Formats: sequence, structure tokens, C-alpha cells
Amino acid sequence: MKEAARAAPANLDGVSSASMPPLVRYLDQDGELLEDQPMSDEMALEGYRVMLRGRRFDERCVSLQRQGRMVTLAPGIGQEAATVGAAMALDSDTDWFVPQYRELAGQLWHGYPLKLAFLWHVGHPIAFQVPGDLKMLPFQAAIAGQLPQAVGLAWGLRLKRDSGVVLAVFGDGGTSQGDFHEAANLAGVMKAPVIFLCQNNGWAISTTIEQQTASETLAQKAIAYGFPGIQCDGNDLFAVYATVREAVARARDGKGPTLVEAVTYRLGLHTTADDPSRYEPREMHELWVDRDPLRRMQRHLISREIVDRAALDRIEDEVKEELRVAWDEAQKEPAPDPSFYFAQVHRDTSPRLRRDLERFDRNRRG
Amino acid sequence: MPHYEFRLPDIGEGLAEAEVAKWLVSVGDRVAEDQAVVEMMTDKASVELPAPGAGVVVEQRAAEGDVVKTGAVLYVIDTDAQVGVAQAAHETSGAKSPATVGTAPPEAGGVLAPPAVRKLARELGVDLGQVKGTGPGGRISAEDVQGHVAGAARPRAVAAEPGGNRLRLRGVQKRMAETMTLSARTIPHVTGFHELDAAEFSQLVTKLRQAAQARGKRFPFDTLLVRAAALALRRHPIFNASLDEERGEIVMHDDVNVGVATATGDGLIVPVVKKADKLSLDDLALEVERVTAAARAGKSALTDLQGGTFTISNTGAWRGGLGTSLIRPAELAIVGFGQIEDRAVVREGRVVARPVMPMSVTFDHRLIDGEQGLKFGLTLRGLIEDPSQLAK
Repeated sequence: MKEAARAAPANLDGVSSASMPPLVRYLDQDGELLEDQPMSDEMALEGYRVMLRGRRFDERCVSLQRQGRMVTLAPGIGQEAATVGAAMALDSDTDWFVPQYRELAGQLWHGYPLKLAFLWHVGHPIAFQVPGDLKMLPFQAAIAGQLPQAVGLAWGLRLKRDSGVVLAVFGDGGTSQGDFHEAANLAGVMKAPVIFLCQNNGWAISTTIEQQTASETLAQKAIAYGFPGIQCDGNDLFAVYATVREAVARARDGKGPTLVEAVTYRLGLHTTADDPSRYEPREMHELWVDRDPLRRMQRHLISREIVDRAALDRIEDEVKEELRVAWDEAQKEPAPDPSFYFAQVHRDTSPRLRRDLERFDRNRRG
Repeated sequence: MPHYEFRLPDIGEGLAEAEVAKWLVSVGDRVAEDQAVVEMMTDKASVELPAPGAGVVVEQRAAEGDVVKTGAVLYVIDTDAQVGVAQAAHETSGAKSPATVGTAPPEAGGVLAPPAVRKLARELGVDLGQVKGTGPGGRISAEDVQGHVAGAARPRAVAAEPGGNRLRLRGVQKRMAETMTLSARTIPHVTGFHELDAAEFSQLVTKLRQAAQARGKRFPFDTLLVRAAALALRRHPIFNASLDEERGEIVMHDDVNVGVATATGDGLIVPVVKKADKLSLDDLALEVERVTAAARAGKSALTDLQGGTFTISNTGAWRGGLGTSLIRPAELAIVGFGQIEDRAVVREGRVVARPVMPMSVTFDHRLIDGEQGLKFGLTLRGLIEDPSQLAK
């Protein structure tokens, strides 16, 4: 039994605060390495390419949405290192990616096709049907709603003695949801092989992190549930990769979950229905533009002589072309018949739905 | 090249309409794919809409300040781009175009209407089967239901109650309403009245105007009033300040930027003459003419409407007399001038006829007290009654 204290401390200040280890960082703001590069040069370059693909995809989609050719979407501009770095630490053959809705760059690394990503944003239902062997759950709009499912998935893998682990991604706002706490608690108890990747991008729509929580860090919320929580620089591809790699190893080793808080920043919109200029201080934005993960990687790739400027320009052109091709292909996908939606609700169509469908068909015929 | 009609998309979530804030390109301009064409203002956001393909903008269907409904054509572009091949999948492939749906009344019970509209229809006792829907695929909106109740659905006119023509508050009028409400609700206004002997001032204006005309130029009457205000503001800097309520600070402005209240067909606009105290008299006349003419033509550049530190309002041209004005937030004062008319006044014990100009000095009593207000008024009075300093 634990040794008992003699009396309640006279001053409770500081009693429950647990000191966090310092933020994990490999690359500084100017792209200078502070530690050994935790991956090969080839992998670093490929990671950069996928980050760029995510960035250009989001920019293109915002433009298409403004033309009325896409529905509301949530770009991940500025957060590409956080999601790609984490995805790189997974084995896509065995490990699962459970997204919220702002981690497309990471999903692209994991194997989600660009064409489907475009179709998701036009509201096409096939984008929600995860293809073939891809170990990924569909997008989830309800904040943190995917986390209990991710824990169930991870626990299930453990019961089946499957070597796979689960990466569950969510945001800073998600840590205030009941689902997060229930999921974290169960994961801790069951030692579920899950990595909770919290993308702390500073904003839950217009709610700041200070308004979101009185905790000093989001990572420390893991302490209450009995597993490690750690912060890393979310705009540093290497830091996220190295941190999540450790968490993956722990999970695979049967030691249970880890909460990784990737400290990053949303450089774009919450969604296309949002206007950050109404609440975001200009200086704050500019501060984080200087910390842009893409620029940081570019500087590193060039200073380490992995590539030169011309090669970066070439990659830019290649990514642009990939996006053009994928969008063209997405546009060729036939629009689903609206009756599709009626068919997906119940196994056996209810009388009421059948009536609605018949009525719908009559109206269509005029 | 084929014409493509760019329709206002739902750029928010369930957006019904948006205001044209600014055209970023003109008719005839060539644009690149994804280049911003127009800035729209919704209740939540101000959003730039990019071009769907490279081409030439051949027509703008709405002016700045107009409120455009979602789905209405904003502009027409000549483009070779394959646009709109795969529309958003929620648009049904087999559905008729909105223009034809609804001409044949849909069968009762089989109408397209969201739940909120169905509820409204129930409350108003309206059979939705009898309502013509104007939305995509003939969808019925709340306005359609209300229009049906009123007997006629007219765009932009909400005829919810019988009698009178109800117009949507928008554009310049809407901004005037918002600004003036804010002013009246937040600023404790105090006004002092003055009657100025304008004999010499009138003569000076006439002289300067004739001189300008001889050179083929115009000399707006307000030029000397702006000049007088600028000189008085230099001597009384608190009148050239503003209140930052959020930070609890008084901002003393370096520049003297005098707004000139200008009546337009659409409502009140206040274009600003920047650094009015630094301009030569010729330049000042040019600038007053430029900004007020643009405002009357409804073509003010945004920068000409911003940055004001003080306002004058001259109603003399419309035979205005003494009156009070509302201060433009976050400025601290405004001066109103009326028509110069001959009045019976006493000079050296005798009643004589003199041209008199009424003037009202209105200030924000949170920051300016009565004595300061009076002294500012007297400075202005001195500058106008003895206008020798104004023509320098």
C-alpha cells in the first residue's frame, strides 16, 4: 500500500501539476537539424512530396469550393508535417489510420487515393467506401466521435493477436469532448494498441487553446488515464515521426496507448464557411507563417543537399500535374443516383423509406 | 469561346444570399484559372470567388452593394475550360432545371421542402402543394411560402404583411443605418450653435471660383470649409482624435483626414480628403472635387472612404439652416454648415443686413468638454469670418 501523508498540505498549489518533458524537436525553424535525422534522405524527400501534395490539394479545393464545385471542407494547411510524420511511422500493411477530417496529407501517405479525396469533397458517396485493403476508417465530422471506435478497433486487434496498431487523429477541441475521455480511459485500462495523435493547431474554430482548457498541455491529460503523454513540434516532420514511431513500438509491444500532442498551427480556414480574419490576430498568423512546415523541410532538404531548388520546382510541377489528373478523373465519375442514399440506411428498406423513394421517383419523372 | 454563367455558389453552409463587396476585375479583363474575380460578403465571412477557368469576363450581372441570391448569375465568362462537367453529386442527374420545375404543380405531399419550411407552412396553414418553389429542383424556401401567403412572391420584397412595399435594407443604406445607430447609441452628443458673418468668406469663395474657372478648373465651395476645419483641427488636436473603446485609449491622429458628408441617390456617403492640412489650395480643391464627384457617381474607391479623422457636413446647397449632426464612430466631432443668407444683425448698435452662415459644432462629450467645444467653434468662426488665412 502507498505510504500515507500525514495531513493535507496547507497549500495545494502545485500538488497535482506533473512536469512535462520538453517538446520533442529535430528541425529548428530555419531547417537546421538539432538531432540526427531519424529517417533516410529518400524517405525525407518522399515525406516532403506528400506534404506538398496535401497542401496543394487543399488550396485547389478551397478554390473549387469558392466556384461552387465542392461542398464545405476543412483544409489542413500548415499541419502537413503533423499528419504525414505520424502516418510515416505506421506500417500501412498492418496499421490503421482513423481520421477526423483535417489530416488528408497523412491519409495520402497511408494510401488514400487523390481521386477519392476529390470525390469526398464533392459529396460523392464512394469516397466514404474505403477501398480494398486500405486500413482506414472514413472521415468523421462529429468531433472526437471516432475515438471510442478507434479504441474498439485497437482492442479488437489485440484480442485477435493481430500485430496492427491504430493511429487515431483529432484536434485540440476534441480533448474537451466526452468521447475523448471515455476512449482514453478504456484504452488505458485495456492497454489497447492505439496512438492518440492530437493535432493542437491552436484553434477550435475561433476558440483559443487558453479558452479550451486550463491544462498546461494537452499531452498531460494522458497522465490521468495511466499512459504516457508527450508533446512534439507538429511542424517538424522528423519530430512527429520519431515520437509516433516510439509510440507505435510501445503499442506493438503490448504496452498500451500513448497520447502524442503535435503542436502545430492552422494556417488556413477552419472550414470554407469560416473567416479567421474576424478573430485571428494578424501577428499570430505571421508568426506561424515563419514556422511553416513545408518551408522548414525545403530549407533542410537544400542545406543537406538532398535536392536543389530546381528539383523542388520539378516536384511542384509533378504534384500540380497529379492533382490535375486526379481532378479530371474524379469529374468523370458518374454522379450516384439519389436512390443510392435510400438504399444505404437499413438492411431492409423500411415501408416509410420505400414510400419516400417512390414519391421521389414520381417527382423526378415530373 | 463558350459563355459560362458563373452562379453564386453556397460558399457557406446553407447560404441564401450574399452582398457583392468588390469586383476585383472589370468587364473585358482576362483572368487565369483560380484567379479571384469578385469579393462577396456574407453574414459570416468575406470571401473571394475565383474563376472556374481561364478566360475573359464579359458581363457582370450585379453591382457592388447588390445582394445576390445563391444560384443567381453573378457574371459571365468566356472560357474554353470544361466547367461543371461533374456537378456536386447531390445535384440529381435526372432532375429538371429549376426554371422548368414548378411550372407543373407537384403532386400534393410530394413536394421538396426542408423541415423548417414544412413547419412554417403548417403554422401558416399553407398547402405546400400549391406553392411554387424557386430553389434547386423546385425546392420550396421559407420566402416562397411567405410569398405565396402574400399572394405574390417578388424578389427582394418580403410581403409578409398586407399594405406597404417592404424593401430589404442593403448596401449604402444598410451601412448608414448601422453607423448612425452605433453613433446615436454609444456617443453622448453635445452641439453648440454659431452664427457666422460670412461676407468676406463669400467674396473669397467667389473670387477663387472665378480664378479657377478662368483656368478651366472647378472650385468646390466645400474646399475652404475643409481648409478651415483642417487648420482648426491642428490647433485643437483632441478634435482630430478617436476613442479606442476596447483598449481604453485615446488615439491622437497624426494626419488630418477630413470627411465630406455627401448625399447620393443611395444614401449618405462620406468620402475622405486625406492630409487636408498639407495640401495646397489648388490640390485641395482638386481632391475635394474628385472624392465627392466619385461618391455621387457611386464609384468611390474603398481607400477614399476610409481613414477619416473628422467630418464636415455642409447642407447650404440644399438651403439647410441650423441643424445637428451625428458623429461618425470612432471620430470625436463633426461640424455642420447651413446656407448663407442675409440676416438682420446688430453692428455697432445698428441693425444691418449681413450674410450669415449657421454652423453647429457637435462633439463627443466623453472626451471633449464644453469649454474645448466652444474654443474649437470660436477658432473655426475666426477662420471663416476673417478668411485671410484660408487662401494662403
